[in-house]
Amino acid sequence: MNKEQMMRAIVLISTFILGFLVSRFTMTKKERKDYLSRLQENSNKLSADLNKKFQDFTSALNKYIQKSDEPNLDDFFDIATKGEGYFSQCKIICDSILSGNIDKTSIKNTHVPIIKDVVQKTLPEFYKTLQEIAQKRNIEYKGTLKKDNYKSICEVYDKYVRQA
Amino acid sequence: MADVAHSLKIKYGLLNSPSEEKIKLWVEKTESYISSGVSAEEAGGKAAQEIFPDYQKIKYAAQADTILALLGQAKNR
Repeated sequence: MNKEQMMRAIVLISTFILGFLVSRFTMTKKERKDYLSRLQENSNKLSADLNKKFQDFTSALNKYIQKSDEPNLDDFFDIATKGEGYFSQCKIICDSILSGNIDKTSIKNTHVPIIKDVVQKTLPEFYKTLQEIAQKRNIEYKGTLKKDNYKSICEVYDKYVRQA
Repeated sequence: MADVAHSLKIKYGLLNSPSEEKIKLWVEKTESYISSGVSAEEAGGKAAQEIFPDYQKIKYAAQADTILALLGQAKNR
């Protein structure tokens, strides 16, 4: 596959994501008939944004894993940045839940299961992995998991998982 | 290239990363559907179904499982 063909593939994939987001926006305008549909629209958009961040994050990890020569500092910080992007999007979702901008069904069925996994599994493992890689490759990295940086995620977890 | 293969794998629930040859075919088929008036999303799906034998064989629904698996592999690199 040559460079031009690869670019065409990348453009097609980006078009899907953009197309999906744009369709959510136009739907929001058309369907703002009642409060509930607005909340559902908001939930759908946040999910789509999270899926995009998830793709970015897993792509960065995949690039690091598959690299034929030795991964460098850029590869490491690409994982760190894209991972932060994914968890930041989780924070945005939690802010939206806490301020009452997502419908109850979506909170329970779509968002809380992901937040539960984030708190119990992915967020701690993310920092642990970065620290291990940094140590192995002699990279100066001081990132640690601080609860203060993920306040709204912790609040949603306490409210919907711990007290459920 | 690994990036594109990975995105397609997640998006269309493939068991394995598609080969360059298959990706090339997918691009051509998708573009031809688009030029016949089908929306990009639908065109990509139709082409994937025809080209990838393991289309929708696995559902990457739990983001956590994918992230944990990749973090584990990155650690061992």
